[in-house]
Amino acid sequence: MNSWYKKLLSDQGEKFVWLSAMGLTVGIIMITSLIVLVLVRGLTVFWPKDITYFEFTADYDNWQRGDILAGIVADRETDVHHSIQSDAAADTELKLYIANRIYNNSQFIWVPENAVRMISKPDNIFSVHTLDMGELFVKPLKLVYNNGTEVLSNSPGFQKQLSQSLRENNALREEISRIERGALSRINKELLDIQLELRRLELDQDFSEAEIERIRSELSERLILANQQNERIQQQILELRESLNRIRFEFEVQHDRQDSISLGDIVQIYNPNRMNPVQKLGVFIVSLWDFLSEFPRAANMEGGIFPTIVGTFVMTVLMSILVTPVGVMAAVYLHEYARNNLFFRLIRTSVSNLAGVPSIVFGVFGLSFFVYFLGGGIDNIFFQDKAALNIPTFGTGGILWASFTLALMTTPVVIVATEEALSSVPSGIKEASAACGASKWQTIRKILLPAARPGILTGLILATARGAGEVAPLMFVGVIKLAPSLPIDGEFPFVHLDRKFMHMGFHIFDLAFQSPDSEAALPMAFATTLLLLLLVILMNFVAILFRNRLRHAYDQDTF
Amino acid sequence: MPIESQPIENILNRAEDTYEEKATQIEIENLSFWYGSNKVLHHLNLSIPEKTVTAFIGPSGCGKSTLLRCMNRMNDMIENSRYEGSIKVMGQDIFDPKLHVIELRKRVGMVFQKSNPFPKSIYENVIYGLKIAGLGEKSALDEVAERSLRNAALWDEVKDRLHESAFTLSGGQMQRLCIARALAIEPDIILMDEPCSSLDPIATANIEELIYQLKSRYTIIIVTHNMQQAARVSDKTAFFYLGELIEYDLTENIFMKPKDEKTEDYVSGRFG
Amino acid sequence: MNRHFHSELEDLKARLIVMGERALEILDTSVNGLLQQDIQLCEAAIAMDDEIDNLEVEIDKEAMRYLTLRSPVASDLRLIKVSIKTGINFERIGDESTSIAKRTRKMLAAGPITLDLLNLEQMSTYTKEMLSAALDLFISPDLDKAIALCQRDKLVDELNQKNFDGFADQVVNDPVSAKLLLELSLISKALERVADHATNVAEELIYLIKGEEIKGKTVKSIVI
Repeated sequence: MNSWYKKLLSDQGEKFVWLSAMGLTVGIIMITSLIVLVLVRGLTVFWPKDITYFEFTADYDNWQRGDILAGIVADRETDVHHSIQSDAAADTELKLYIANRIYNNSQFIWVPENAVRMISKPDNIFSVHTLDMGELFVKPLKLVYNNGTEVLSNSPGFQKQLSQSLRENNALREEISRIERGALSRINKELLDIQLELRRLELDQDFSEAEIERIRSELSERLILANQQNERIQQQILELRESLNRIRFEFEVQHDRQDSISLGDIVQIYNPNRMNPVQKLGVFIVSLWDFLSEFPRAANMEGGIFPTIVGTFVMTVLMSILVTPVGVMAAVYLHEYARNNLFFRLIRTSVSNLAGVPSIVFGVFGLSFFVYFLGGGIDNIFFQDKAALNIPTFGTGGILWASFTLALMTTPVVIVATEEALSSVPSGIKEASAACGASKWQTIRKILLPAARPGILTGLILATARGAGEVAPLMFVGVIKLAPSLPIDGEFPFVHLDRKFMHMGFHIFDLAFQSPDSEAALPMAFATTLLLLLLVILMNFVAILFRNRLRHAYDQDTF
Repeated sequence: MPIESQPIENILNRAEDTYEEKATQIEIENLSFWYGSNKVLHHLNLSIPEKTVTAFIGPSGCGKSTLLRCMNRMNDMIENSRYEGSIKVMGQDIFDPKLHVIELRKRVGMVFQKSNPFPKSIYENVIYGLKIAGLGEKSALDEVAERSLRNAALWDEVKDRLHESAFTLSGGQMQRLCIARALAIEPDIILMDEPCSSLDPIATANIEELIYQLKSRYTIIIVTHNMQQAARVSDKTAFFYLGELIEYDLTENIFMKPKDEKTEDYVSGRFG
Repeated sequence: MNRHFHSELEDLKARLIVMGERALEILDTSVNGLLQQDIQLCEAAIAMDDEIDNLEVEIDKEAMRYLTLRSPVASDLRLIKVSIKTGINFERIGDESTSIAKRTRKMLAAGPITLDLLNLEQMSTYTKEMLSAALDLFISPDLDKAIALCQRDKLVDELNQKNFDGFADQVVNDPVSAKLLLELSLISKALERVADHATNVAEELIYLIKGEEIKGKTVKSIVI
């Protein structure tokens, strides 16, 4: 028995080769399927799919036999019973995407396959992407202008008129948001300033009565001026909005129901059934670009995710900037200066263990230490007036504290990687440097750190990858569902470290579990996931390229 | 020169230029050395003359490398090391606390067993010591780089690729680069710790010839396991055994008529 | 690549040639002393032997030093061996020449030699030619010439045999001169020995060139 076992181990080791190869195979399959799933589900969101008419062949739910429904088959399952009336004969069910969220309860319905039949792919069904009502599948009827003119959908100029009006509307919307972000926010800031000045006046004892009176009147003048400006701008915006709503779009939805919406509420209209693949690609690219560059709308379910990209990117970069010097210096001390005694062995072990601490713990720490203690302290010292009005600046979650928290969390990764990189530098060149008359610090700076650079960068890549994908601790220290402004913009001082921000990872979580219609939001969640994956891959790729360039500069093959 | 055209006396006298004793440059007095509690050098006394090649031979662990590394205080880098006695380099006690170790290392250069160029360009490698010392003038650095590389017999091989990585050189060239790096700081003494142990015979021969040329200007101390090498390059040889200096004499005496039985056994390969 | 110590080998070779030339000189001087019956030349020859002895010691020392320090191999090693052995041969030539000079001095001390020297002059010419040819071989090594030189040794041997027979015949006819005739016979023998040493030198040179010992082998087998 014993010898048989030994024989297996020694003579027939090939079996273990197969075993280990199987391990690798499982890994490859898992990674590939993950990437394929995310790619397929993420990218198909933006591809315009053909819309089909289904006719009910039997009464079902509140649909009657003969009803016609426009939809897209989203899924098909056997032996499951999602539908309301499950019928023993109908064991196959279809999941149909029927859009029109405002007319139905949901954008998706499950129907037994034998209750519907496909009848056609009509030419005149349009997909309408609205600002905050989701997607609509409609049959256009006409455009109605304020002055009473109408353009019928079968008239030759309809298509042209429609797309031109949409373009004009886009320009108008941009104008509105420009005003809102520019003038309006300036006025808001002015109003806040006046409020703060008043408050300061109350608190300050140094002023004489006359002075207080003078300042007070000055401020009230400013306030009147600001209010006037505000009114003017509000008026301007109102006018713009009115002109945005100058055309109404009348259409027919299912059940032959007629309705209309303002053209100003429409972002995009296209007719998938009449488009060739090239046109579909055009729509795909436009939708994808909107997704990347727009702000979110309708409880994050519509629009783009631009703020989350900016938030994630800025936070990751900030984190890297914070973590690198701290981690590298700590590692240099541990490796070069620390004596090999119990104390430093303990520290080294603690650092390694710190890398395994659940990230949520860092979130709690970040909240209590960075936000409340440090942030609160900063507010009390530098932003007294705002703090007095209970407006926290750094005393609340923000991108700086989020970066600090993640930097703290990833420091052990950088320390361990750097120490390893320093150890892999042959001790011979350290001695050589000393023999040339270099001091220890000179050796570290001129020889060790440059030689360890690729290894340090590897650590940084690992840290970045971990930090960029982390969600849990961020919820404590500054990530929010919808941020009104970006952490970087054109307003002085351009980088706003105190602002709350949006993050892709949190956005995915929010879409999938916290949105009003999570099923409808799922495609967006997948698209965001894909993007998060791409962002992490991109940042790693850049870092790897950089590292390889460093490596090639002075190849260390001989060691 | 054809032999017939030379006066007979010249030919007869040429073999007469045997070694003549030169002034002492390094004086080791009663030196003992410990790694932790392990005493590796026992009361060594040794005078090394200037501008000669002195070889340290002996079996592994005999303390020859340790002694070499004492001479530029390389052992300072090792924790728990301790010494007694003194080493005087040109009259200056190198263990004097007032002497800055960096000053010492500028006078006593070192070449290591494994060629260990820095991961920098050839040029940067040579001028490293000068840059560390704060010399930044480009023309001066260029001049030193060229002179050092010429003295290390490497200039012709690398002059067209000074700014390429040092790792593009062959093993022997790398070791000569390390010698050039040591020469650049213009030391008086060069310590060589088994400089040829990882080189092929041609590269070894190159280094040995280089040592022969350098001895007119530098005092060279070489630790070697290769007795033929010690015989070929050195003027004087010291044989160490178990941390003690057994015999120190002219190289030909050590190899032809050693006085001590241990030396005889070691050089004739009967050791152990 | 040339190592710095290769010049030491050149020195060694030069010394060897110098020693050979000294040997030729002493041979020439002593033979001339005999042929010209000049006691001065005999004295000069005897005085020269010390220098040759010293040269041999020096060459030995140098060769040993080179062996010890330079670990020579191949042709370098053969040259060291050849130097030592050739040194011995030259030294012997010196000894034989000294012996000729001493015998001549002894004979001349009793008055001028009137006896027939038979082939001694011829022999000495041959011997000197052989030695001189052997020295040339040092400067320009030539296998054919070396072999030819070895073959000439037979001529000298034959002449020596003739001399021995001639001197023996004279002893019968002239018993009074028996002592002188014996001396002359020994001088002839000495010259024959010098030729042998010259042959040995040539053989060593063949060894230096070919790396093979030829003693005890026929010349033919060497040439091939």
